[in-house]
Amino acid sequence: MRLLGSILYDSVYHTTPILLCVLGGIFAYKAGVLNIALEGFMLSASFMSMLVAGLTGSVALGYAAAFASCLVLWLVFSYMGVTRRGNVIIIGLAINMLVPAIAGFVLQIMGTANLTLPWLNVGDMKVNLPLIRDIPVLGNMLSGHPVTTYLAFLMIPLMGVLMYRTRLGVYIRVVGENEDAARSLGLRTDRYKYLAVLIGALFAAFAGVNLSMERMALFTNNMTAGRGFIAIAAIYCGRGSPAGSAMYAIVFGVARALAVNLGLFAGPAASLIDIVPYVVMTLVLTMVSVVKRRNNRLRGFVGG
Amino acid sequence: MSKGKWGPKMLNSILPVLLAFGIGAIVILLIGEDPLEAYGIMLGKSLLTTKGFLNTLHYAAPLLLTGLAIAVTFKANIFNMGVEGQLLFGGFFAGIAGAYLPVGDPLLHKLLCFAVGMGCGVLFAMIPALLKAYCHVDEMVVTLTLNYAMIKVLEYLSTGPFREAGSGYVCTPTVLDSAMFYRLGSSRITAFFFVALGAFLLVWFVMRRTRLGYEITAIGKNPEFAEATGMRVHRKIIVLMALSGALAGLAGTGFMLSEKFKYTLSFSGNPGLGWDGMLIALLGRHSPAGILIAAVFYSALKTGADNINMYTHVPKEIVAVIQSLMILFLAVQFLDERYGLLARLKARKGAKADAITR
Amino acid sequence: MSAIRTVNLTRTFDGFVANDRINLTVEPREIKCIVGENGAGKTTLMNMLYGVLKPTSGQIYIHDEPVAFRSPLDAMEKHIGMVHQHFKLVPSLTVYENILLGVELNRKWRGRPTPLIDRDAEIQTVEALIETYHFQLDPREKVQNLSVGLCQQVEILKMLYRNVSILILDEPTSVLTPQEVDVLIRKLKDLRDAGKTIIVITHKLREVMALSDSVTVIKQGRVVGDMRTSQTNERALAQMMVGRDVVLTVQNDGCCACGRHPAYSVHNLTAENEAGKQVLHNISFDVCQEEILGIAGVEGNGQSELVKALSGLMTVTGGSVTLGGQDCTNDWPDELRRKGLGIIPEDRYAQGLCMEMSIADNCVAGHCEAVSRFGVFQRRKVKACRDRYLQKYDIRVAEAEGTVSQLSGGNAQKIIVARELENRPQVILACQPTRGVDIGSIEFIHSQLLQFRNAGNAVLLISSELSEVLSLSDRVLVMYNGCIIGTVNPRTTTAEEVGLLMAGAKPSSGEESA
Repeated sequence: MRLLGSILYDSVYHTTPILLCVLGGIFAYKAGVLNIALEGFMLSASFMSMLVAGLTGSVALGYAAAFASCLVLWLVFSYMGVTRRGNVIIIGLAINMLVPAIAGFVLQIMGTANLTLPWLNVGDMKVNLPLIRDIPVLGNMLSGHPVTTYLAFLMIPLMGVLMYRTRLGVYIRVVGENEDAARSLGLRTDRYKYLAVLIGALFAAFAGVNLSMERMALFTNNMTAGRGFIAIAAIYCGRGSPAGSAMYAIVFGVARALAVNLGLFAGPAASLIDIVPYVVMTLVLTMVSVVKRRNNRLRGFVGG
Repeated sequence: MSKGKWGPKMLNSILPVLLAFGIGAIVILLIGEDPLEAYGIMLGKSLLTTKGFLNTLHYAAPLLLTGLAIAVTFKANIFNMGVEGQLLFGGFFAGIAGAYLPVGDPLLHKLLCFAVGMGCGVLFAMIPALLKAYCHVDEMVVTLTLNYAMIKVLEYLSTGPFREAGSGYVCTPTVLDSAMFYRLGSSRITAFFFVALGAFLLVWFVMRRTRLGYEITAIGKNPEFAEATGMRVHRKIIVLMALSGALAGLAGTGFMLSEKFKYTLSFSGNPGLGWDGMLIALLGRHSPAGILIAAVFYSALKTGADNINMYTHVPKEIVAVIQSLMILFLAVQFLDERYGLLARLKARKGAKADAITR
Repeated sequence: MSAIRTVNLTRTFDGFVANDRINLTVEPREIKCIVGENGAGKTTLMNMLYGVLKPTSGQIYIHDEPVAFRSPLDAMEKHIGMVHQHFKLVPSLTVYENILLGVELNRKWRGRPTPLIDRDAEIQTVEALIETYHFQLDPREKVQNLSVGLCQQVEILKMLYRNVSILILDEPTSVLTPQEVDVLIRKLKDLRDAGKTIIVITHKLREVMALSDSVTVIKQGRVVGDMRTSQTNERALAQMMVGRDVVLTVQNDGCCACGRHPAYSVHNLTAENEAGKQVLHNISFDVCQEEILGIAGVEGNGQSELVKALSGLMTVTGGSVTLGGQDCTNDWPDELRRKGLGIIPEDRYAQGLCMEMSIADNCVAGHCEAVSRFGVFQRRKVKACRDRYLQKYDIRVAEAEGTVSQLSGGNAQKIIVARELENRPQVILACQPTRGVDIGSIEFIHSQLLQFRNAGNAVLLISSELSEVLSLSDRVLVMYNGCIIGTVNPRTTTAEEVGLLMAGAKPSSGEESA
């Protein structure tokens, strides 16, 4: 029972950053500028929030720094990828390499291997929901998370509305599907690509802060450990629909929670359990692709 | 490839490098050091002294191979981002073979290690390759995430079953003498450099002169055409990924047998030889000679990084920063004004062709 | 006052003069047809009028006011709208969303607009618009489920909602059935009577006569004729367009070879599309040695799928294909080639050629065995092969070492024809072999196909150009909705009769003569 409760709580806990990345990333996906730099965006938010909070002693400034850093990266990514028409995959990978390089450089100068906030009590960040926390098992799962976690799950329907019921969402989808059509009606397509990437950057900032400051008040380099890529995989699997992609994000979160909790019993092979989320991701990606193409009889590799 | 575009092409490779170094210089200034001095130490020793240059060539060997491993897949518009994982996997088991196989003959032992290392590289590349070829799974996402899985697997193997018992840190046993490449003369360079060069020339020949190279180029430029003229694109993707994985495995094996001799958790460094390969493939702009130059240049940078740590207060992590900036700038065609003019003329020609077909 | 007037409008691309001092006048409330051969410069002219291209020199006047459009937006501001040949629609959106794209109606709350789109109001608006112009459309339907004819109506409505007074249509009838063409002609005349000025670009002269008030003929970038439609006829227009008397120059006058040994047989072929919907229904036919079998039909009735299935790009769900006695159902393209099938694909720049590769590389594609040894190319042989094709097929290139992208449509197509014919197949699958090709090359390609047939081989000709099918084939099948709906003898059947079949009308017994 303890184990079940812990698995359930951890599922929500591990889903949060992936879910945030997914909800932000679907817009760039729909706009046709696949943002694989989510990993880097997230890591920079993790790093900057801890760095600035550590230097100033203010959690709020930490948040601000996280967002500022993601905005800078957003501008870099969009300018290079949208305005200058560079290869977004390579730009994304470059940002994913640049962020840990800078973090490593700064950590080296500071002469430390990781950042901590000894004065910050992580427990204070957690919100216990009255009433709900008293429900057995479920209460344990739903209550006691940082605000960001609740926000992340609330965002699923909100992003659905944004994508399907507002001009911004419609235009972003149109830009990705038929840019010519959008341009022929006078839509400034580049602007919507910028905005699509911006939404991803803001969500990745939340995810990054959640990962480092809110959960453990700890930053180690490369702590995002491929979560951005897993989010990309979830977006692929859900084909960019908010509900569908979010569902896959939850699948991956649950996989990680299972791996972590069962890993306690694995003894020396514990590090082997860590590969479960990655393997699950590959399997899910394959299954989705097979199901999607079950009726396809065309040969060849046009359009993926 | 038509002639006469060398100027802008070269500049498009050189400008991002200069820009990245420029930003790196600002960073060095910010921490109160002299960038010129740092760069001087970094590049001077590794390029301008004979011994330094030979060391540079030594470190260039695996980079040349990983650069090639990525460049060949770029050619077909396939993104094998798993070169890092393939290299680690190949290197690890080449090291195991080198340490455990009691083969007395040095040549045979090395050949066996290469076979194991390249085989492992191919094996690991087959997962994304088969998924791509038969299930149309995006190879980029799969290779990116499987890298993490591979690192974890090797972490388990090197801390568990294959850990060297007497060592104070996590590592596998040192390879036997018969598997080691020995230094030639006083520098670090070994015969492996020539193995790498040989592989490089062979791949160059395959890409330029053979049917396979031709088909790979066609797949990259127009996959529909390639399929319609009977090139069996899915099979070629598997062959190509196998080639890429073999090159990565070769790089890992060579690095193991000529430099590291045992697997440690930081075997491939940070950001890893596979990632360096991507920079080299981009810098070389898909031309073999370009890849060779880029590998040597980048190797000079990396060996220089150690000198920087020794002689100045600049952390050697600056190299990783400069490297990722280079990749970032290389993603964009810089000479937009001149190059863009050419491109625009081409587009017009395209529009004309359009007009004619209507 | 004229609606549109151009003075010495000129446009060059890299020294190639696409439009040479065009003086065009379009009166208000008239339907103007602009006709010309492929490559005559019609589309370039329209793109300048619509602001897609900037003129190299010359001036455009809209309602006698000089304009310099920088983009289509400027043109729209002057109430000019264009319906492109390739529709600018978003398939996953509905009809109403497409029509109101960019001018969405927002939901109001206490009189102030909210960020949310008001779907109900949008649907009502579009319904009213459809009503006004008497179109038949369901605004809630997704565009991806519409037929091409209806997609065109959505495009036209999109322009009408934006209140255009001048409507330009680029090749609007090329993808329509004869019945849909009639509907379109009626609609356009209604619009003219409602006060719109309409410009139609086309090369189909029959439609010009049925539709327009005045017509301008363009040839090689110049205006060569400008007259009221009532004062001319099809023949005169054709003569002006091409510069000489053309009525289908290459004619199949060989005798019908039916009854001989079948070289290529298709039996009960069925295929499904990605959505699992059946798109080919029990297709069966034989192509005999020394026969050209034509397949006619309006585009989108399964010909594309048939071609994909026969050329190894798509697997079928049932039936069989045999070539020279060997089964080749679901073979891959390389196996098909080895068994003796030559393929001239539907879209030459997608499946037939690689534009960014050299001419020589394109010449040996799919037939590498002859020019390589142990997988290594022998450069000398590759070059010899290229030079042989260039000479024998009269392919004109500026630079033999250059890429295919530098070639005109006709010369590019001739490379495919050379490649496929020179490798000695027994059967040629020729799909739209002369689409977008100049008259000279059309003649050449047609005569090559006839020569190939006369040498004792079989040709399966699939084309949406009815005149081509009728003049070349020994026997003609008509495809409708994924089925073979009838077989006709092209010597004894008129285009009108075939047209009825193409529209799905069941043949009366007398027409099944062949």
